[in-house]
Amino acid sequence: MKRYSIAPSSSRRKSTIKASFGEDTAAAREELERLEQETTLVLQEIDKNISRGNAIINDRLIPIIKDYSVESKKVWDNAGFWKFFFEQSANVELNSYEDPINLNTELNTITNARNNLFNDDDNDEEDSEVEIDHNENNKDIETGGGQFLKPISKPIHIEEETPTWSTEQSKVQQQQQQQLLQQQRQIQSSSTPQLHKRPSSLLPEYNKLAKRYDSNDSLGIQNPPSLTAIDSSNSPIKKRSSPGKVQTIRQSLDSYHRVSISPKKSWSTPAKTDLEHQNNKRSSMIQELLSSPTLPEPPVLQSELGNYPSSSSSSHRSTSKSQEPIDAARFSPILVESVFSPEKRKRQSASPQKSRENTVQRFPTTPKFAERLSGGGSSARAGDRANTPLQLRFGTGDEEDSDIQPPELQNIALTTTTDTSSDRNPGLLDNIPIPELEPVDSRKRFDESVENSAHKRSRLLDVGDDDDNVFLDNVSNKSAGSTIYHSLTQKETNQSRDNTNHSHQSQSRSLSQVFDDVISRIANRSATSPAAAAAAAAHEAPATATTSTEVHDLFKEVTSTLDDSTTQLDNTENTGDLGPLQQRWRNINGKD
Amino acid sequence: MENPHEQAQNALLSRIINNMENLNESVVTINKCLQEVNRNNLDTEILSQMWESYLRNAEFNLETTGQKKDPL
Repeated sequence: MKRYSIAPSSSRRKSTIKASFGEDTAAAREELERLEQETTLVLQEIDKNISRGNAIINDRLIPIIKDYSVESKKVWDNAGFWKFFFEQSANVELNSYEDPINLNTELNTITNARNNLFNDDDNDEEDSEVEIDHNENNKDIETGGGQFLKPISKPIHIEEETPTWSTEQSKVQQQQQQQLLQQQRQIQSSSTPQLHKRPSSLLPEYNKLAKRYDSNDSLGIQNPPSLTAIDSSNSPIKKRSSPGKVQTIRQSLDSYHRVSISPKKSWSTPAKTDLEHQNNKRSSMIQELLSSPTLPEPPVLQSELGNYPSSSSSSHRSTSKSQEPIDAARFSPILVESVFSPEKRKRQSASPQKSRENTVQRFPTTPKFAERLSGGGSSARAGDRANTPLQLRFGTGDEEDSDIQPPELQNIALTTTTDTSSDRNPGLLDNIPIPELEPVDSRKRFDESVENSAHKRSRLLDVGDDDDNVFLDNVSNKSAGSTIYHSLTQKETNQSRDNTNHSHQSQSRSLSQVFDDVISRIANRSATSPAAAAAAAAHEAPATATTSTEVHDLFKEVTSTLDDSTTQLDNTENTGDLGPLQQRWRNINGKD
Repeated sequence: MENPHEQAQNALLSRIINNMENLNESVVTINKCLQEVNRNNLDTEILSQMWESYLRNAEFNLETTGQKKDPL
């Protein structure tokens, strides 16, 4: 790299020693030699010192400064909250920024001439984009100088600072005045710009007001000279929400560190913002009322296929003709999606009916089981949520899974049969229209279909537990809503005594079935004698007994507290112990 | 060649110039780092001044109202 070298190329040091020829020459040469050597030594010293200084800077200072920057950032991270705290307390906004000093104005001719010499070198070397940008923009505009005052968070004090100045112009002019003085001070202090520190900034004083003017005493509040207007809007680098006070903290190199204290936006244009606030509130309230709830509504169980309250495409659905496309829509996720998406858009325009439609459509095939129970869709939804844990599983994730299709169900055949599965599984996303119990095969198919369905739903469903669910009926029962009674002892007794009537039942009988059997037997065998019935009951199934003993046997069987021996004993011995129940059965027998 | 001293001195001077250049770059780097640090610390300083002013005001007000108590 070629650079302008200041090394003397061929100049010789001028010696002022005058030597005459001869003896003087020798002495002169010695002197010269001595001087030359001295020079060399000095230069070596210089070189050594410079390289030493260089090494110190590079090896020690820069890492320390970098660590310092890291630590000071941590300090700010921890302490930054308090700045927000003060801002909130005063309802102002404090924006700190670097404001480059722009000296290219007609007023600062002399100072500019001198400062430009100092600043140009710095400007060339500095990379700060902020300053460079503003040097380009603010060449003809003088940025406002700053009062060397403390930043004050409370706006009240701001007004107190300048009691004589009521206009911003005057304030600005005062700032300009101070800037001039600053520059002069800058020039006088040293050739290199230094950080300016207010002398009284750290002195503890009790009177804030008094202190405020301390730094200004030297400057004084003077009549502002005729200066050009300052366009303060261009100067701040950071955006200022509204015009406020600007204070200079210090001067760093060629820029001012400034703080703009501006009231928060809520204070500006109160009239307009009130209207806006009202409008916003109104619109927000309207949106809240009309918008769909945050939690998706639970699916509305429907008893019939055609009972959709939707309006847009309700023409199809209300009729039975549309059941086929509805069924198809139910079973094909694509169609279901197409149904959903326009409804979803309408949903955003927010009508509760349509939101209901959405939920209805989302689970179109789930029967209106809850309606039947609780007597209403809206109330049923709450009831459903509380009563159906399966449903709850879907409810929480429904909002996110709104775009997710219901699981593909392959139970088309089920709709034709009188299914009873929904009685057990009301919350399942199964396409079971009618809440009836299902045969075992169809239920197994259900399990398979649910397991094969969308994984997002399947992870919610835990169909594998259905076999373990003691409340689920594995046996087909024709009567809906009947409770199933599981009895282990009954199983044993059944195995011992089972006849044709019980042979088809695997493990348990419903209580109603027991009663039905008893009543039918009593009705059929009114002619048989109690003794013969008792004897028969001892050995045969209770189906043969017709008297109260038989009834007693049946009851004991249902309660599952009897052994074979005890029942036999009871049959013969405890005939008269039934009391009122015996009387009742006798009445029945008598009637029969 | 004429003056060996001169050659030596010139060489030394060139070394000095090189070192000075490096030094200048280092100083500029430090300058930038410090400027960055100062820029980042501006908010911290504002905060410190706010706290200071608050303390001073509180002290003044307490003294004025007669509520200032001796330290424990």
